[in-house]
Amino acid sequence: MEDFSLQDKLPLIHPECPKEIEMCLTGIYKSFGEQSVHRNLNLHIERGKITVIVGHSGAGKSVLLKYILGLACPDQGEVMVDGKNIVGLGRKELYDVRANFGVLFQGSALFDFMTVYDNVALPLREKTKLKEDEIRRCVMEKLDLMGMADSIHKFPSELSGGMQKRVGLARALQRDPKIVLFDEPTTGLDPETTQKIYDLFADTQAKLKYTAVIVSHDIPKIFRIADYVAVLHQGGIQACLPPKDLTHCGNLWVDRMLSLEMEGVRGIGL
Amino acid sequence: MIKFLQNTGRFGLNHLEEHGQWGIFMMRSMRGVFTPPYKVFPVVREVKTIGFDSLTIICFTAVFTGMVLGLQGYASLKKFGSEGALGFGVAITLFTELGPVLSALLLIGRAGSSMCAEIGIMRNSQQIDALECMAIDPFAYFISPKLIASLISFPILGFLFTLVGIGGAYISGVMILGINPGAFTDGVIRAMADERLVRMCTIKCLVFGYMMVSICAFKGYSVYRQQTKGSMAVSHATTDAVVFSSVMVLLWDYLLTSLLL
Repeated sequence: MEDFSLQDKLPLIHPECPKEIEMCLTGIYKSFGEQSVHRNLNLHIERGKITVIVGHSGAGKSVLLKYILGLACPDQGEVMVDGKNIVGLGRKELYDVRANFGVLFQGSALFDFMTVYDNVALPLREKTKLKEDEIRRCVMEKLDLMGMADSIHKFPSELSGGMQKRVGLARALQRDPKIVLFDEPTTGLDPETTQKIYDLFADTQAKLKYTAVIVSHDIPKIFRIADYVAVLHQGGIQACLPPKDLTHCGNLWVDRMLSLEMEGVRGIGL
Repeated sequence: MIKFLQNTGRFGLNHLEEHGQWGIFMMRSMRGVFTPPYKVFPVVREVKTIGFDSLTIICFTAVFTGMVLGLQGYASLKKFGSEGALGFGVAITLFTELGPVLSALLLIGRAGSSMCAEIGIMRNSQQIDALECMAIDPFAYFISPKLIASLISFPILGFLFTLVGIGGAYISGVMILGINPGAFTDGVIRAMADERLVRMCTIKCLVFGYMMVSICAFKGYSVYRQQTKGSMAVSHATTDAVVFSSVMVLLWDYLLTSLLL
C-alpha cells in the first residue's frame, strides 16, 4: 500500500498566499461514530475568488460545506467566516451569518409546490420588507440573468435539470450574498449542460464578485473556472493551489487522481 | 449476555435521544407560533388542508356512526322500555368519546399521513436545509402554521362529527324506528347543556390535534433517523407516524376521560 499521507510535506497554500481571507477552517476534526472524516483539516478561502473542493466520494466534502453553513459542527477546530468563529453560535447569530450566504444544492432543493417565481421570491418575501412590485423587479432581474425569465409560472417538476440549477442559482443570488456555496451542482447533468452551468457560474461570479466555494467531481471541467483547487483526501486538505500549479505539486495522491481523471486536462492547457 | 446488554443500552439511548429531539422540535414549533411576523395566509392554507378538505370524510363517517348508534341504542333501550333516552345517550357518547376520538383517527389517517410524507420528502430533497440556509426558520415557516391549523380544525371537526352523528341517530331512531322526536331532541338538548361534556370534547380535540402534529410532523422531520433511506424511509416514517399517533390518541383518551369525568 502506498502512503499518500504527505500533508505535512506539501506546499498546501499557493506561494502567493491570499491576502483577503473570507473563510478559514483551522484544525478541524470530525468523526461519525467510529469513522473519522476530518483529521486536522485546514483550509483558507480567498475573498472574491472561486475555490473548488475535490476529493473522492465519502471524503467529507459536503460535510465541510455544512461546517461553513453552521448545519454541522466539527468535534474540534475553528470555522472563521468574515473573522468570526461560527462554531457553537446560537440560532439567531447563525441566521445573521447565513444572511451573507447563497447555497445551490446538489438537487437544487427548489420548493416543488411553488412556481419558479415564488421560489426565487421566497428569500425576499421572508427576510425583507420589500413591497411586491419591488420583489417582482428583483426576481425578474435575477431570472433574466439566468435566462429563465420566461419560465416564471412553471413548477420545478416541469423544468429540466439544467433549468432547475439556473433557478436554484437565481434564488441563491437573490439577496446579493457575499459567499455562494455549490454542493456538487452538476450531478446528473449531461456534459454539455454541465459546461453551460459552469460558464454561468463563472459569468455571474465575474459580474457579482461573490466568493464561491464549489464541491465537485467534474475534473477537469471545473478547473476551467477555478481560481483555487483544494484536494481533500484522508481527512485533510492535501493541496490548495491554482489549477495550473496542481499538476506539479508533488502529492502522490493528487498526481494519481489527476492522471486517472484528468484525461483531457492537457488538452485545455492546464 | 454482553451483546444483549449492549443492544438494550443502544435501544434505550436511541429512544432517549429521539424523545429529546421531539421535545426540542415541539419547543421550536411552539416558539414559532409566537414569533413575528405573524402571517395569516399559511395558517388559512393549512386549515383548508387539514380541516376543510376533511369535511366529506368526517361527515360521511359521522352520519353512519350516528345511525348505527341509533339502531344499537334503540335495540338496547327498548328492552327496558326507555327508548326516549336515546337522544340523551347518543349525544353523551358522541360528545365525550366517539366525536373526538373517531374524528382524530380519521384526521390522522388523512391529514397526519400526508403531513408526515410532505415534511419527509422536503427533508430528503434538502428543501428544509435550503430554508435554514436562507436564514428562514423552518419551524416558524411551516410547522407552526400546521400546529395552529390543527388546534383550530380539530375542535371544529370534533363538534361537527358529534352534531352530524346526532343527525344520523335522529334518522335511524326517529325517522326509521319511530321514536318520539320531542323526546329525542329534549335528550340531546339536556346533554348539550352539560358544560362538562362540551369542555371534555373541546379539551380532547385540542390534545389530539397537538398529538397529531407533534408526532406526524416530527416523524417526517426526523426521517433521516429511519434505518432505510429515500422513499422507503418516508414510507416507514409515515406508517410509524400514523400508528404511533393513533395509539397515543387512544391512550390519552383514556387518561383524559379519567381526569375530566
